[in-house]
Amino acid sequence: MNKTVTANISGVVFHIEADAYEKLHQYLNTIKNYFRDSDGTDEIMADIEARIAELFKEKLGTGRDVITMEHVQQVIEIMGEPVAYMDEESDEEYNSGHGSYRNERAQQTSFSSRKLYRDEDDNVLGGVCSGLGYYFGIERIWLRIGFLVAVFGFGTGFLLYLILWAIIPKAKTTSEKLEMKGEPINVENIGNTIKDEFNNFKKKVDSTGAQQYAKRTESAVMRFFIFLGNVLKFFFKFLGKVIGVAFMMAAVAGLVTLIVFLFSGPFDMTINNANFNHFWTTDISQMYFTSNNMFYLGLTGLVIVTVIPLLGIFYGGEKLLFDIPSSNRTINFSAISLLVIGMILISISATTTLSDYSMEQRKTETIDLTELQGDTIYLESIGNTYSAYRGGPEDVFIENDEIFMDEVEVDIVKSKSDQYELRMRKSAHGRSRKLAGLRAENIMIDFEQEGQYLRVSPLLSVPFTDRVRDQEVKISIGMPVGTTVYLTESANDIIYDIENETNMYDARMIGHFWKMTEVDGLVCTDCVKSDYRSGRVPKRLLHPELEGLENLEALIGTDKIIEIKELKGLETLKELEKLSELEQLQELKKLGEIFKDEDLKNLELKIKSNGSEISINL
Amino acid sequence: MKIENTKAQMRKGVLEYCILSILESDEAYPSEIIDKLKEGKLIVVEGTLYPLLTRLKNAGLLKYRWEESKSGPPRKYYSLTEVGIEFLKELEITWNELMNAVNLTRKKNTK
Repeated sequence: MNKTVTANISGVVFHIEADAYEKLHQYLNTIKNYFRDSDGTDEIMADIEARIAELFKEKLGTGRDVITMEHVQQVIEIMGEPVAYMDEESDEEYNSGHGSYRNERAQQTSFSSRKLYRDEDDNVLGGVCSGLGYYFGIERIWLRIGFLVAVFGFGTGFLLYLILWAIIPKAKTTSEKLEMKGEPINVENIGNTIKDEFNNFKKKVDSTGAQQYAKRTESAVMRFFIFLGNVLKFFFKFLGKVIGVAFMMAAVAGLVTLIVFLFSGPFDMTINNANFNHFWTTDISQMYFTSNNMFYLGLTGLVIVTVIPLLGIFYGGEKLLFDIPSSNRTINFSAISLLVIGMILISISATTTLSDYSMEQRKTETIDLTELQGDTIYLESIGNTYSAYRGGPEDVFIENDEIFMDEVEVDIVKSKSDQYELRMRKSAHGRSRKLAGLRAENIMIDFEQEGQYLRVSPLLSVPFTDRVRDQEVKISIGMPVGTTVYLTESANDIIYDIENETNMYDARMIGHFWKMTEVDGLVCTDCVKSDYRSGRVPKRLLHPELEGLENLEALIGTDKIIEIKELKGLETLKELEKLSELEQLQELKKLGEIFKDEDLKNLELKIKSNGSEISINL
Repeated sequence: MKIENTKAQMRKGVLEYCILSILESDEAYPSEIIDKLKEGKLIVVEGTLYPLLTRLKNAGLLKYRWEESKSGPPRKYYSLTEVGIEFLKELEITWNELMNAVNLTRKKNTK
């Protein structure tokens, strides 16, 4: 079915199918356009219309009522395409330089072959891509991106572009532009193209009008500044394009990183034999998230929040590079909406998960280590399983439906009784105290006592369903005064901040015997001076003769300059050194020698010890 | 130099002369003129004739009168004016001269 319109052609009324009418209308307009500038346009048009009406009348004579597309095409054939009008009507300008293409036109009513030109009307640099785009019928943006990518392949894209720029001619004339675009060269198209060009020109004139005015009226100085302005404009335009490229590259790099991250997981958390699925679907979500759904919710949010700004950066770069002026409001709005949605997803996931960390509960128990025998015990870690995992940086992993964590700390303190004892404090977090308490109770930790050996596992384990919720175990080994512990090499995995006589670091305590004393706490029984850090060597090693002394007085002449009770360690002697007028006073024996100096004849050091008194006269 | 180009120029030159010649004996309306021109393969499509007729009329060489038609709109019947008759005579002389010149030149060259 076809819509019909009524048309009055030269006083005769016709029914014409809508598309046929459209075609006829276009045809007449084209002709009219062509005769626009010659005398008697109206008369010519009237004659032509009259003839068309006559022809239609003839055609309808066979009994048909409606003019169809077919009729119109037949009439146009008889009357001739506008091209033909020009052939006969053409003036000198057409015979002078355009004879060649006029002939091509005659053969090419429907022009399909294209010629390769550079399109400087729609260019980024030399219009090469634009021209190639027309020639191959490809969207020019893809060619541009292609060249851009190729630039990073050792600059081949850049070189190729320069070569093409040099060898492909620029489309200068209207017919060349039409040839480039593959449009048939006829009156209508030439008219359109010229109109476009005129508009472009007009725009240019409008925008440079001020400059032209200045050129006319101002001096050479002014012209110089205008030139300088143009150079700067070009420079900034170029700079903008460079920044645009940088933006686009950064965005692509970010997207690639994201994809790598999604498909491989964060590197420092990969687990033995873990593949992608295992890591993302099982480990992370089951270790940390309240549920798998929460995990995927958060991950989706994260991807959105990461991808949208990257795309934004890419788009911004593209805008800079190709001078796309305005931004698309719909795109902006959707991008911002998506960002907000992504953030909401993340916050839902995060708050749900984090709320399960909000409360802490501790459970403490004390165990008598009745099976330990002797005054000297050896502390070891149950190291075999853990050592297998050491070497990787991971401290959390899943095995046999249990989560293992490297969250065990062992301290050594004075026993409250005369037995070895073990105090264990388990703690965990949860949505509520009750849940945290349940989790704390679920913590499993291995230790064993056997003869002189006490072994503690460096790993605690919790059931899968408990997730990772800050579970930790603090173990305090209580040692009766007078007993000794030897810290073996493997104990290094478990001990944490053990207090001792000189606050020695844990790692330095390894490989030594430590005796629990009433006053000094843990005291090393086999350490030599070099085991201590300088200045931290206990006085019993530096001044064996002072062992057991408690009071010290130093006198110069009869003036008592210091009296110290309960002499302890080297620190006290250092105080003495400071108060003394002597410059360096390091060892008591040397002290004696220095005091032989003639100037200090009456110096005397008195050391009192539990009532008895040792005087050193110098 | 394309052959089509040259042909078109030659055709263009004689077209006006031919139209005037057709109208010399009797008046005619465009369709009749077209038919005669088509016989001589001087024009291919009708559209080209109308601008030409208008131009000749505006130059005062042709005049026309309206006549009702039973098929379609009224027709324009063209005929020569006094100026047109004079113009045609001039053209005939020029044409004959040209023919002679061309023939002479061709004969010389073929000898």
